[in-house]
Amino acid sequence: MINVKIWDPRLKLTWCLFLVLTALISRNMVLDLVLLLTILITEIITEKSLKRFKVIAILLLIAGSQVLIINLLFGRVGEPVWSWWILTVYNGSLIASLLGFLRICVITISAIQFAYNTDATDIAQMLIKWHIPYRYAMLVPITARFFPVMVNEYHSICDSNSARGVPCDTVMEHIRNLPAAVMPLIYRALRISNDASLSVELRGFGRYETRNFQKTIGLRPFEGIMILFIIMMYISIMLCIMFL
Amino acid sequence: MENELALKRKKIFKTDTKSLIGAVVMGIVFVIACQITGQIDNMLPWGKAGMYLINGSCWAFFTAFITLIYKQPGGIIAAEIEALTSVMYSPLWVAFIFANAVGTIWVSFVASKYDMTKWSHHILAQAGVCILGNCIVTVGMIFILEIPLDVAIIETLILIAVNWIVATVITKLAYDAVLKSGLVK
Amino acid sequence: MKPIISIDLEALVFPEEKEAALKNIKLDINQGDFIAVTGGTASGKSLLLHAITSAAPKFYPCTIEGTVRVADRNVEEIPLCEMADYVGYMMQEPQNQMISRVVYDELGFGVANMNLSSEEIQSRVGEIMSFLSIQDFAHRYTDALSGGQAQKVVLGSILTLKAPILLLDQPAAELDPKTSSELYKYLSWLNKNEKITTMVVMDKSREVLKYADRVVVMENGTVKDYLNTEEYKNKYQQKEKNRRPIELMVDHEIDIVKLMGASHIYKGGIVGCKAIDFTLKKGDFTAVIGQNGSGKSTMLKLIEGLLKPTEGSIELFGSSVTKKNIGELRRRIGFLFQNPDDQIFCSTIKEEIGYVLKRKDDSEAEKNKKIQDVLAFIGLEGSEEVHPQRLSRGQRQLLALGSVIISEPELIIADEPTSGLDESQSRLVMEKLLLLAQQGKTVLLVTHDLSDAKYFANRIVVMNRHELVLDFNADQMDCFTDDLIKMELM
Repeated sequence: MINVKIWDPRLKLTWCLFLVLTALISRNMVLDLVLLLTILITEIITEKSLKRFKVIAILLLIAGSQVLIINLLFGRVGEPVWSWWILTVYNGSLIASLLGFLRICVITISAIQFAYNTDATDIAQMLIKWHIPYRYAMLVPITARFFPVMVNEYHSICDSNSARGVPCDTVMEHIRNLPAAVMPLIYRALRISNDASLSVELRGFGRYETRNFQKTIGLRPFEGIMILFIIMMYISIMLCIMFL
Repeated sequence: MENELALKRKKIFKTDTKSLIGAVVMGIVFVIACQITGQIDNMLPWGKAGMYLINGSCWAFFTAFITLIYKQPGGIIAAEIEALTSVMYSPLWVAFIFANAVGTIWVSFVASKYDMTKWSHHILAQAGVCILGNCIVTVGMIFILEIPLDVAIIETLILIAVNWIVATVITKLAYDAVLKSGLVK
Repeated sequence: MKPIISIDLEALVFPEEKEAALKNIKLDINQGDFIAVTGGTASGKSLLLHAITSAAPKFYPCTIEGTVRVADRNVEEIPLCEMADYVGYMMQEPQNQMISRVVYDELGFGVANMNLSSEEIQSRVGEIMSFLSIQDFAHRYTDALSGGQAQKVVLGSILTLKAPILLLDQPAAELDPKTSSELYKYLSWLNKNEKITTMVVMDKSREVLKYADRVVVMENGTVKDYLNTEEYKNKYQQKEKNRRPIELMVDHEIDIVKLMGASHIYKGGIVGCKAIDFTLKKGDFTAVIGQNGSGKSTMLKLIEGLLKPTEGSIELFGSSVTKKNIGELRRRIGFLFQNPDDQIFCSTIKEEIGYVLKRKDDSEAEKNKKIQDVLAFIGLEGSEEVHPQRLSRGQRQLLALGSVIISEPELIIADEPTSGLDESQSRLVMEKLLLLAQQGKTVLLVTHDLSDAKYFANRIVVMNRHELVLDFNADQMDCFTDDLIKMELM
């Protein structure tokens, strides 16, 4: 199994951006399909399974079906292939839906692949290499750190509301009880962030222009070559799309 | 000292550690709230058709709310946390990167001109957030999702109308409540 | 020898406040001292620490008249981020202070900010990991740590900075007795052997006073007394050799809660609780005690209906708990949670207390009377229009209690309601719960504080390793001392 996690984050970001940008400029289903298959194959090679994409696959299928329905109902591109009462389906709608679906699959799955394979601290160091002051770059690992904390806070609030019998059966009750779910979370966020920021300031955060990291990133020659190759590949595809 | 200077509400930038970390934590709350409201929308007929009215209002509320509390770059930080995290549940995350940034910048602009104590200030702030943000998302819907132009426009107009009203009310009430709480100066 | 901390404060005033939050404080602390700080609610204990770290006024805007000197330097002249050279500061909630995803990174967070070399960072982190015995979870995620582990990690992260002063604001407030005892042993060792000046806002006085040299007693923002520990104990600590008799109207005929062989196994086979047989009678004030992980929370969640028993059954108010009746049963129960902030969301105290009444058919006059009665009970009358977030944590817990009792529940379940509170705040909350029990309510208290259980409950139930192992009247506690010591609850 290839351990992608040890690769430089700049290479992984270049790969992700290549996939996203190519999908965005592409109007060719075959190209989008090739990109999608490339992502899935790389995932299988590195992780030996596609488990990580299970949840997003369901969301993408839902989004895709919504796009299909809207296009079938309201799309007017191409030749009409079926008609009933006021409803007319055009062949262009099917193609447009499929293109849209493939595109969203590529851009979403490539971004998720990047997120799973890249450590937040590595991203911070990458930003520092790009001369972003470390006080801002460090916000990336801080975000990763506080996500589970705030999710746990939210679950505590939900349990508390549940136990107190705050009604949550109908949609209207859900909407009416939004303040009871969100306002405590906002107040907790304010307190937590106050404590966290005082704690980091009193541990020297922001004292110097730079800070040290226990594990540093560094671009290896083959990673640099890969980045150049990916950029050249993107430029070639872009020129092909523009002129062919 | 920066913190004292930022007490003057019309200042655009607030780069102290409290604001930066506060924006991060509140950005995460933004994400959680969007998830909750997205699920509520999915229970409703318009949500099933892909029109997220409650989620959109929540998005507009948090975009303005966080910017008013933490100024910039806190507003953009929180907005981009939401945009980049939305990759996990929305195919329009690319559009959100721009929509969120533009929304928060507009709010900063309004907050630099007004003290945000009146309803009219919040109406103006949310006007920009809802109109500009939803327009950018519309572009995303057309070019990423291949939604027909007329459908995208009608959806956007409905979203702007609903989000603008709902988000204005919630933002004013929540912002006043938080200022009254003393947790934010 | 010059004092390492020298406070000569005339006044510390917050904007929009008329009264000074701290006033007329003259205090000198020598290197190697172990000082405990105590006082009532809002007496200025935490603020005193903030003044030493210069967080007030740099982090909490305020005006200060006077000087605070640390290591012979005026703290006003030292930027906040440079205070790490002099002071290590630890707060109550460890999860709020940890900024890194992984324990190892958190331990090295402070020293990495100092721009020390990687070798120096690794050496210091390694030293602290050995000292605190946390090598086993060095690569664990910080959000997966228990309270005690998290507090150790926070302490470790501060110790790597090698500051000569440690300031701790109720560091053991959320820890069980065994873990807080361990924490104070470490602090005492550092104080006696490394001569680290230690100043602790007292949470568990029994532990702190074992090691403290002197006690600062705060009242209304000023130092009321500055005594050695013996003088403090003689003057302030009334030794209750015998617990006061508690008279409750317990009706042994009526079962409020009945667990019959109730067990819960979580996903993955993790045991929550096993075969619990427990009956709570009407009018009882029962305390459930046990270490963290003993099954108290699972048992509570079964009673609350948040979890279903995987074996056995539960009855509330004589009825089996089903999906259909759980809503109705919950309306007869009032829940007081560990963190009052989980249930507070309104903009005024009056709104918060009256929130539940919105769903009732009472007239406005009746609702207002109920609200006023509850405000008087919890001691917050006159504060109707104050925003709840402006209250201290103890007051917010009382507010949460008020919002619970206004609907006149028959059963009150309090889940570690004194966690995070200092002793005076804890006592206030517990006395209110006892008063409710004396008025005929049934109270089920979950706590790991044995003194709360002993002095306020009439019955104590002990959980250990997911099972209910002991059940006795509170006045018989002395008969079970050996068992409680074996379970590390004493």
